[in-house]
Amino acid sequence: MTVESPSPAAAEAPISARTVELWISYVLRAGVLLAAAIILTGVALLLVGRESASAPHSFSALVHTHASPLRLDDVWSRAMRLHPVGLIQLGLFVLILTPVVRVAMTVLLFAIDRDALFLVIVTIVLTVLVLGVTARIG
Amino acid sequence: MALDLFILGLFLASMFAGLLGALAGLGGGVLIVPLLTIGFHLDIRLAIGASIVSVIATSSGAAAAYVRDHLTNVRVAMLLELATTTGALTGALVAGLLDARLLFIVFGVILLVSLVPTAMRIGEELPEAVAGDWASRRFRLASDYPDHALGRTVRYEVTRVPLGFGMMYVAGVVSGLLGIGSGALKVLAMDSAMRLPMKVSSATSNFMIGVTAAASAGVYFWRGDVVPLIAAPVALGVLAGATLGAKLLVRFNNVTVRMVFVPVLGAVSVEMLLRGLGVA
Repeated sequence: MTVESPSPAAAEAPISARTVELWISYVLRAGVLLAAAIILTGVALLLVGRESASAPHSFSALVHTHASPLRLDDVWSRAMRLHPVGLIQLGLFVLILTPVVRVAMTVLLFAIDRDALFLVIVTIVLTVLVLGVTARIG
Repeated sequence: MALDLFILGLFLASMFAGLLGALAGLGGGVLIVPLLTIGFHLDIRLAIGASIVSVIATSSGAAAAYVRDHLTNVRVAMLLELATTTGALTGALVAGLLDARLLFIVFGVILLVSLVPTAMRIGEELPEAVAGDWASRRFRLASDYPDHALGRTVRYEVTRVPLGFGMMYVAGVVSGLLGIGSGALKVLAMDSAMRLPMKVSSATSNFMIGVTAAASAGVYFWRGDVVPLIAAPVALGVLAGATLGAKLLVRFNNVTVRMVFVPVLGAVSVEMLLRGLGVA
C-alpha cells in the first residue's frame, strides 16, 4: 500500500492509524455527552422530587458540607436505585474516566505502528491514571 | 437561599466563566476557583474539586475536534503525559496536606505568572531553523500538520525535549494542586522550550489537559471533594459556556478579548493573594 505518508510514525499503515484517531475523537465526544446526560438526569430528578434523604436542602447546608471519602459500591448502588445524587456522582465519574479510555485507545495506535517504545510509555501513563482514578494512593 | 436558585446561579456564573475563558484562549478553569470561593463563599478544596472536573469536560470536548483535524501530535502528547500525570498525582496529594490559606496564596501567584504568556503573545506561528534534539530523534517526535490558512502541509521539528519534559512536570503539579488545566504553562513549555508551531502546541496542550486532570480528579473524587450539587452545575455550565465561546470566537478579535481579560485576571489574583494572607 503506497499512500503518501504524513509522518514517519504512520508510514506503516496510515489509513488504520487515521481511523483510530477518528475513533479517539468519537470516544472523547461520546464520553462527555454520556456524562452530561447522566448528570442532567440526576439534576432533573433532584429538582422534581425533593424528598431524597441525603441531598442538602439549602444553600448554607451545601456551603458547610464537609468532604467525606466515597466508595465505588456506594456510588454504584445509589445510581442504580436512581438516587439523584448517586446519578450525578456516576456521571461525574464517567467524565473522569473519559480521558483514561482515550489513553487506553492510544495503545491501538502504537500497536499498529509496532512501536514497542511507545507501548511502554502508554502503559506507564495508563498505570499512573488507573492509580489516580481508583485512588489507590491518596 | 433556595437550593434550586443556588444551583441555577452556579450554572449561569460557570457558563459566563467558560465563555470568557474560551474567548480569551484560556481554559475556564482558571476563573472557577476564584468564582466559587470569593463569589459563592465555598471551601477552596470543594472549589478545586468542582473545577478539575469542569476542566476535563471542556478539554475533552475541544480535543475531539483537534484530533480529527490532525493538529495534535499524539506522540509528543503521550511522552509529555508521563510528566504531567505524575505531576498531577503529586499535586493532588500535596493539596490534601496544605492549609487552605496557603492554597489561596499559591493560586494567586500562579495566576499572576500565567498572565505573562497571555499578555504578551509568546511563541512563533511557524518556527524556523529548528534542529531536532537527540530525544526528538529517539522518540520520533517530528511530524507535520495541514495548515488551512497557508494551504499546505507544514513539517516541523521538536527540540529541547528534556527541558519541556521538566516544565510539564511542574505544569502537572500545578494542575493537580489547584484544579486548573494549567494550559498557559503547557503552551509555554511547548512553544518556548520545544518550539512547536503555535497551532500544534495549543491543540496538543488541549489534548493533554484532560488526561492530566483525570489523574488528579480521581483523587479529589474519592476523597469526597467533588460535591455533586456543586460540581454538576459548574461542569455543565463551563461546558456550555466554552462551547458557545468557541462558536463566537470567529467573530471576536482575540487581542481585544485579551485586553479585557488580563486586567480582570490580575485583579482576581490579587484578591486571592489577599484572601490567603488574611487581609481580605
